[in-house]
Amino acid sequence: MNALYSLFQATGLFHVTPGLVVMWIIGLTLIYLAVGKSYEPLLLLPIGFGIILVNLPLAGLMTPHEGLLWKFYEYGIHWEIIPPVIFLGLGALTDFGPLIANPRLIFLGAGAQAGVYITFFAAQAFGFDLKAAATIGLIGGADGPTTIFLASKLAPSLLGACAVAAYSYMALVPIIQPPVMKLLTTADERKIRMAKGRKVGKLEKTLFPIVSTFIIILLVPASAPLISMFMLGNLFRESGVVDRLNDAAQNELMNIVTIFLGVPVGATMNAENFLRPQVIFVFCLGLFAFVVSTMTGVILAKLMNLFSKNKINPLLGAAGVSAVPMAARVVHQVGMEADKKNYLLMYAMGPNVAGVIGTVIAAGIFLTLLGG
Amino acid sequence: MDDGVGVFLVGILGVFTGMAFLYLSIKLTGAAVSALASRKKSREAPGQGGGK
Repeated sequence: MNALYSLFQATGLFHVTPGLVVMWIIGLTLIYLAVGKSYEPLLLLPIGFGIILVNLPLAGLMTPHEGLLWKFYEYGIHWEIIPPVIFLGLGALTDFGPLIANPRLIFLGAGAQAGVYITFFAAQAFGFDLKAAATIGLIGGADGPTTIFLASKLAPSLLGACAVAAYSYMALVPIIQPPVMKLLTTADERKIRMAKGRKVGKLEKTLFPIVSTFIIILLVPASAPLISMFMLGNLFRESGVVDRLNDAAQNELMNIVTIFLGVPVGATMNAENFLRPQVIFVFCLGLFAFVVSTMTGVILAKLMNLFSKNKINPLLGAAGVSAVPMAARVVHQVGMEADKKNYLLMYAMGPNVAGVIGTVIAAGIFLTLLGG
Repeated sequence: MDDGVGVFLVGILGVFTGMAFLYLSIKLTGAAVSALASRKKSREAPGQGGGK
């Protein structure tokens, strides 16, 4: 009988706690949202599975130096490899043409970052230290890899919560942003048609990633890991001479690293770490960050209109959050509701890709000021 | 909280400065590329019709 009891003690079943069961339910919910609702499935599915794995007692997948998922986390995320490689793929997928054609729209990508800093302030007021507050604020940038990159440096204990919040709210862009956009604009403003941008040639598109790399890394060296890979990927795309590398960066490489990003991110969410009141605040502040970033983008567009002959449709400001291309699509959709012939999608891609750069710069500044 | 104010101000200023530099670089690159294209055109122009 004793032998049987010892055998039972050696199984995971003996060590199941209510906290672990709650985490299984959270993991299964994320998998359901990914499979059943198609909410950011590429990330939420592996994250959900990672949550379940790390909360299976005695599995030891996150045991330091031994666990499989710990190795993925340590060498992939903590060593700053996976987020920059994702950025390589994003760069290869990004067309900066709409931004180069309408360069003033770049400021809308900066305007949306004001939400990041306002939330940083709010998080501090809720008792988070500077590093945690910075990580939470960055959720407003709506950029998953950058949020993970910063969290792994400044607040590893909040990494899982911040990543899930960022990806969840990115999936909810079509629900979160339109009411905010409509609240801050009049019907006439939403009908504003943008002046046609100039045609951008191949040489200009090829020079952009090179010149941007110099400028951004010289100004904010801490952003180098992300911006260098982002611009290298874009150079692959625009140079037109390395199609194989461009294809690999956009497809195979991106898909492989996405697997190795999602599972260990989920695996950082063990019951002990995740089931804390702090995490609820992370989700609330993340939503606040998203809303405020949308607001500051729209308000900046309205301010720019005070000093500009060629009016900007203020809806474009909402695309300054870097959820690419979802935020641009939402802008287009809301614009079409006001005027069915107002095609804003290509214009919205300008601030949208500027938002990616803006979020990376914001993360670089946080790293510079608050240390790694 | 004072540190927070500093990070907030430097952060906002930093992001807008970065974007302003990027804006200028796009403008300058655009101007340089158009100047190059028009120079190329003007060089090619005298040669046109020479084959008649």
